[in-house]
Amino acid sequence: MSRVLIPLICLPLLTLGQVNDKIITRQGQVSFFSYTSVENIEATNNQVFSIMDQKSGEIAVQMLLRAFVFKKALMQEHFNESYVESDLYPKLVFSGNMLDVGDEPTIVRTVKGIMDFHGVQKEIEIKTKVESSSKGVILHGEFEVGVADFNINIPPLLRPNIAKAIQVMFRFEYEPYEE
Amino acid sequence: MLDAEVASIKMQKKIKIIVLVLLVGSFSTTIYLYRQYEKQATADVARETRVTKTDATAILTSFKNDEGLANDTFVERVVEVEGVVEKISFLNERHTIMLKSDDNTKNYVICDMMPMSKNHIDRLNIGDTVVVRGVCKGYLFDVVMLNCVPINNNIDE
Repeated sequence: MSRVLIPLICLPLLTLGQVNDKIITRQGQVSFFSYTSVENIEATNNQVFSIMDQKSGEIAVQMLLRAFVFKKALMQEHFNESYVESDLYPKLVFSGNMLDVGDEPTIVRTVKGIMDFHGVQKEIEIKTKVESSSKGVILHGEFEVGVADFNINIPPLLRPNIAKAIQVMFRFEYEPYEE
Repeated sequence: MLDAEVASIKMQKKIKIIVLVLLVGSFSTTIYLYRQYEKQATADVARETRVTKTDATAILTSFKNDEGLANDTFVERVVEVEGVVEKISFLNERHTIMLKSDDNTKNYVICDMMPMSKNHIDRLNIGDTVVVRGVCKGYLFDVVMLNCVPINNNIDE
């Protein structure tokens, strides 16, 4: 009798444990900035999706390149049509692991993984600040991405307008994922 | 001699007219290019006449079944979606409504509302049925729509 009952009682508890390990955000914020003497370009995406397993440290991030909003329509058009070619490569995908997962109250942690952007897969390492909130966990930080690393062709005439290294800022406010 | 002077005056007039046309032309082109450059990146979806009408269940099913086909049908087009409000969010200083599908999956239609829709959102409740018009940007875990405005006025009144 107990051989049957114990797994039956434990199953929902195990499932509950799995639910609590996963955290999700549908409204992660990613902004990028290009600073040059000619002009400054910035854009923000407020609908970045990310899911993370707090136990294993696995983390996945996806964003639609078309969902980056610029102040000027012409910049948005050039970004999508000429630079990131969002018809061909509509998403940026990151898949990685938080390296130093643990109970110790580390504020800054390292995330290492593969960024798939514009048809190029590149290993990157990002430092992220970790904060607790009433709903869950907040990851935020910034890093740089080299334009040349992801085969983004910029016409010679426009090269002075766009920085060689783009500054990227992110903020993900996670909440528990209920399957 | 007199003919030569008349011809010279005519030629000078022609040159003046050509210079004037070139000046007006280049000035107009500069103004046009400047306006294009300064044009704000917000679509006026409320006035758009070419609108694809659907509901939250149908658009989510389309993307889940064949994302490529759904991209061709919906992405970068003005789409009007009817759905039940599952969540209202003010994260990132944005006004966002999430519409759920009839089968109650955890995939939603995320509608990033225009700032002018704030009063409408303040009157909304979870469970209300609304019609929202916006520009579809694609599908991740949810369908993402930007520049959204409310279409049905039932809640406004």
